[in-house]
Amino acid sequence: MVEHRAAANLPLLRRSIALSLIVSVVGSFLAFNQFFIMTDGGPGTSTVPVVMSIFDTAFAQMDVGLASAMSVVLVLVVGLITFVQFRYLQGDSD
Amino acid sequence: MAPARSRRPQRKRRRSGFGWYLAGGVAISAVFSVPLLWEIFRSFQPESAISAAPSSRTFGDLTTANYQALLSGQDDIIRNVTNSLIVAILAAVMTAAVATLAGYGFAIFRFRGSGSVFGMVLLAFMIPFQTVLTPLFLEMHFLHLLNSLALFYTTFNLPVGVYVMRNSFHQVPRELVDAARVDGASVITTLVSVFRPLIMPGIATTALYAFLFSWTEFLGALSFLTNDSLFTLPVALSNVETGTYGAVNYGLLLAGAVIAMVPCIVVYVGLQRYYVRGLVSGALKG
Repeated sequence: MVEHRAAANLPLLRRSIALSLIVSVVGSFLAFNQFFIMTDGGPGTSTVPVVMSIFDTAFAQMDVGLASAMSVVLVLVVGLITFVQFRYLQGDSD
Repeated sequence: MAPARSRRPQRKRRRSGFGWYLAGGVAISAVFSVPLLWEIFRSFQPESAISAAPSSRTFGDLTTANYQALLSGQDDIIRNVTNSLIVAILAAVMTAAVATLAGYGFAIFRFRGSGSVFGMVLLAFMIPFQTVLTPLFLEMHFLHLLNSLALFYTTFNLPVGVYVMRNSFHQVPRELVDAARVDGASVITTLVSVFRPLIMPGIATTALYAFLFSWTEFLGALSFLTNDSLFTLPVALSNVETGTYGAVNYGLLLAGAVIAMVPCIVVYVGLQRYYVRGLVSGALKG
């Protein structure tokens, strides 16, 4: 019975699921606060997420040009990830 | 007879299913609520009990010393709370005002290129601000707006706000607009006296979203603010965490985090009815 209900409802929820998945994947990909507060990238640099790496390059090493270039690459990567999710979650049923 | 016989095991199965549902729900909600309750509880313990190894002897010692220390002003937390409140309220008001007017325009009027302009708004929605942090920093620096945090928050809440507001304008029956126009109401009069009561949920959603975003935002405030006296609460708390000479006062930190939680809960609980309704209408009516 549960399977039947899921089979009927899941396709209808496709858009909502896609939206929450995309938002949470991008949000996690760009996480910064948790890393900054809990580990500050340490030990060493083993927990440095991409946004923190850009942040450090810009505001600790003062290499704003390199950090801007990293930002541009990041925009492209995030765009690609989102695009791929869109393609696979759009489906053919709607 | 047959349906009656087949109904009974089914109901039984459903009841045991409900039990599992309940247990699972409680377990999942515990994952989220236990740290919060733990934080509140710990914030009332003295610093010595927090940093020491867990011990049943000191466990029940409750005190408000952390809050007194925090609010007595050696770290100027009150100023940071005020900063955060000013920024968050300004951002909420500005976002709601601009998003209402923009949503009005997009939903009710058709003008050359309105579709593609709205597409651009959604495109801005797709680009998280973390990815443009450095270019944005350079731009704000060039414009001497680094310390105008409320402007920055308004900008990044506008795409969501415009989207939600456009949808709440779309939900108003078209006949109302036509009737108002026939009665000779101007564009502004229509907005103020016909739409206002109907779009309040949307406005509340937009304002609340912007408020919560601005209140909890950390990365932008950390990067852009150059003036110590303008630090918002999250930045100030992260400084408390770094501590003086590496000694972290966890009591202060916990008390600060609890204080940071209060406005979110108050605003959210107060406007929850609108918020959920507004978000749903924003999410489903494309």
